[in-house]
Amino acid sequence: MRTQILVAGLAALVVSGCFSSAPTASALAYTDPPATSGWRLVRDPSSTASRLVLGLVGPAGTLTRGVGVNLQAPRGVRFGTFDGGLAVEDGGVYDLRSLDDGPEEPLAIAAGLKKGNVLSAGVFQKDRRRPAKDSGATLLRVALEVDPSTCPAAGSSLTLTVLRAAAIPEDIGLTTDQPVALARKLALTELDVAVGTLVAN
Amino acid sequence: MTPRTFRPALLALVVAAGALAGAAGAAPVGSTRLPPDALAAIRAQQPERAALARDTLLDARASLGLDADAGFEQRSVFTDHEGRTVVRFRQTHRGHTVFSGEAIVHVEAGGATRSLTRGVKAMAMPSGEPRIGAEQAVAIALRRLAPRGPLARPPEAELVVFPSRLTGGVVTALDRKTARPILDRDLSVWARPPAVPTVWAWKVDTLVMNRLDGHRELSYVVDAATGAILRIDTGIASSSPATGTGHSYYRGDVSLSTTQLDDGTYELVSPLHGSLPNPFVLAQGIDWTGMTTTYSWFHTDTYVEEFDKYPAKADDDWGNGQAMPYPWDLANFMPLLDYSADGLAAWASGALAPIGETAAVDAHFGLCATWDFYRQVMGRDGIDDAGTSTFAVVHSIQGGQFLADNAFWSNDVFGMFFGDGTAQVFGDYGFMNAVTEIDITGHELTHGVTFGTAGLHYSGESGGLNEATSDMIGKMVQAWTDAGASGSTVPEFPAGDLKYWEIGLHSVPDGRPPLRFMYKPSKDLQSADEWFDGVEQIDVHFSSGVGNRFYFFLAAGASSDPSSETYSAFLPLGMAGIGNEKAAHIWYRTLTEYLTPDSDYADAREASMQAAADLHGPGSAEQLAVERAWAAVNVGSPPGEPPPVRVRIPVVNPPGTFLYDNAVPEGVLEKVQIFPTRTLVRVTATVENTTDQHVRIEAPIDTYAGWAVGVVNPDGSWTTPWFPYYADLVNVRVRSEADPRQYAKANLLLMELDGNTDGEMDVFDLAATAMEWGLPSVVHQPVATSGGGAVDDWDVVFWTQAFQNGFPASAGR
Repeated sequence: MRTQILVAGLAALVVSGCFSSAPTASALAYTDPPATSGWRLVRDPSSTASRLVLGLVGPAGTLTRGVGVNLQAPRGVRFGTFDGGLAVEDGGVYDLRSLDDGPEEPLAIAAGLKKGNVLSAGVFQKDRRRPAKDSGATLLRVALEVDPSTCPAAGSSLTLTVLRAAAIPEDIGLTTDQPVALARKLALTELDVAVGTLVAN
Repeated sequence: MTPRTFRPALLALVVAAGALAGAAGAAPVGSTRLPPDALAAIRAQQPERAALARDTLLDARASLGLDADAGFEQRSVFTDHEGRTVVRFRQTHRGHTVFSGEAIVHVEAGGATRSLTRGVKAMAMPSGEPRIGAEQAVAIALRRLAPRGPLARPPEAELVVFPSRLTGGVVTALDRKTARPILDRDLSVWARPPAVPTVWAWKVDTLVMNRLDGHRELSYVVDAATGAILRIDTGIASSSPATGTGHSYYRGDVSLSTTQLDDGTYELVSPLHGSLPNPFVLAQGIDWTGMTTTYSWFHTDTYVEEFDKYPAKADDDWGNGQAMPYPWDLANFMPLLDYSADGLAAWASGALAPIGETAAVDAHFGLCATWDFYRQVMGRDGIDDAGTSTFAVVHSIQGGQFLADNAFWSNDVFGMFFGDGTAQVFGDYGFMNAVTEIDITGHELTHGVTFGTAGLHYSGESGGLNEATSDMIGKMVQAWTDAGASGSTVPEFPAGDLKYWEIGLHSVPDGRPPLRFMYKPSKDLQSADEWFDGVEQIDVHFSSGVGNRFYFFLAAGASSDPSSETYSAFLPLGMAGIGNEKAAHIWYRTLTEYLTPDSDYADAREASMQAAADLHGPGSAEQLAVERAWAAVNVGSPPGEPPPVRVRIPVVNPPGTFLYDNAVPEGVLEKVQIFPTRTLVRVTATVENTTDQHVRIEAPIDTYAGWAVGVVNPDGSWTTPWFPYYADLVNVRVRSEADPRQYAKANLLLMELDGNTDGEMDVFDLAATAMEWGLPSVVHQPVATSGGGAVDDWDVVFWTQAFQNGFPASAGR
């Protein structure tokens, strides 16, 4: 008989309940930040009553080759996953595949949960021969849900924080550049992302 | 798609088949050699007996879970001394080979049949038609192969049915220069297994032999629907009637089987060892029949490695007993080449001088002796039991490496290559002398026998069995040759002298240890003395330790003295050996009549016990000895004892990830788990066959440096170490507290994720990887690289998997 002793031990700790008599939240309501010409986190139409999907949208006309974000969620909110188990979904703007590799090639898309309930998620083009893309569309999506184990109170305002966001710029140098010039261009462009308001209901 | 045709069943045997139906499954007891005339009569009937064997399988299709599209194509057939005809079949579906699908049928002397169908793949066959053609599949394979020099021949593509569970994964290999386990990028694949049990796939075989690429024989399995490369195998197994006189390096003066030509000159070709021409050479319009020993060179303009026979000469006296010294250009780390007028560059003049013939003498003598061993002791006509000729290439330039410290069997060319060894120039600072000692020549030729019989895959536990088989038979060849190379029995080595059980004892400079120690494999600090969960992760030359020690115990016995090197804690009372003769025949029968391509050590135990029962009877002392010898290497229990405690480290990569999906459950390829450095991870383990689930996790060891890297806490939590470079392999061992002899080991790949060196591990490091992807290192010295060279897809897959394993989104931190 195979027994996963350590995994079983951890599972036992998950048994819990809400002891407060106050109503607890089961859904998240999000109001988009004001429309600007900058970078924004907006509610995605694929959101449901129990699952809030946010899309990262950039300014139209700005060309990029990939984007990433470190997004901190407050206590009471957890990050969800998409088909395939990843906690980020490609918006379909970038060409993630290279020009000449096979169908099994690995893609530069990843998401991981770091200490402090920080989701680090990103999607990037890796083949410099692919052209940069217009950022004025949903570039990536992340999902948020109420974490029932933390018993968030209904009606409470919550704060989402973008700790860092950055994009691969259009100009990442040419292979004909001098090495020093090329290395200088291999740098990310820092982004200022506007975040809306979040309420647990 | 055009189904292949099968030859019609032989009606003449219908009566016999019907008469034998009731006897199917019966096993003979005891081994009886038939008189020569009776055996000849049975062998004359071999084609009809093979047809009976195939009909037996076809009749059994329904009970095997196969439909009417299933077929069986004969792969090999031979009849042993007892008159048992052993027929191996490839499984087919609609005329196409089912990858790794195999069945064996024994037709006993009296006609009874026994079908061994463990290797049959009885899963749902693919539907529909292939979406990509052979040309496209070849193009995909060649893109992955990326040869820098010319191909030795056009790639060959065959449409096959591929079981999805055999999809490859990450493979490690031994770096022979550093003895460090490294990732084998030639053989690793990153495709996820198809979601259905089987798919149509193209098997594309490639061959390159030139200085730029070295000698590579890679076979690619390309998904015929998606074009994904599902698996990569190598065809190379590495390590190492006139009568002339040879002055050998290892065995003094020896008699050589050579050929006297019509003009009275002599060739280093033995017409007594091989009756059919070598197929590789024949394809080039040249007939090499008989054992042919050759020398190699390369073209400096094309960098193609070539080889040819030693030129005929007036006398039949070869070699001078000395190793060939090389004029060496130390400044350029190259031999001082002899540029001849025809544009060939080689040390040809050296190779052709008497001192250069010495390596040829050793190889020729050892291979002829091995051939004789198979013929006289095992009743086998050479490598394929059909007399197909092989050849040896000495002074071999392997991958453009002069003085190669290696020998190998090449299944593609049906021949063997022997390097000269670095000790020829660097003395005690080199690794090996010319790699032509007799246990090594026996080892290499036996790889050919293994490929043609059991066909053991050269990776995982089956690869360890493949290597062990060559060591076992190589030693038996040595024992037989030491005693005069005559007779049909295998003599014993001098009792108590363990040096006779060391591989390549004289192939290394004085003071250096031999290649392997069969009686205690771990003396090389790498090999396994016993089976453990994870043994399939180590290089096949080290996982062979399990099989090698089993064989030593079986033949020579195990001590009950705990201080002895032949003591096993798994069999504390020790055991008596049954001797070389019986052990050799049991193993030869196991190899040729029972093992299949994906057999593991548990299968080998079962098979060898059956082989012992065949030869000596069920419950015989010999069968019990086999059971004990396996128990002594922790494969099964001693007779009458309960199953041993088992510790296993489960794959912790979450479902859907590359490494999880590529973990092959039956150990054909390797499982490597991957984590970030400097991150809290958790080691878990399972314990079987005991109620005491407690385990002790030992300090992880850096496989390169050899020292511990941190401590795992009792709850399994472990902060992975920091490396000043980007990736390294770390070994973790978990031991049962109920039975401390039992443990499991896992190789972990630790990946430094901070590719942009900002002190954080987040997706912006992946962004750095993406930005540097494909940039030639001559243009830009990459930062986010795991392998030291240009950033490529390996960096992408390692980074993403390590990140997701180290920071799983479902962890809820």
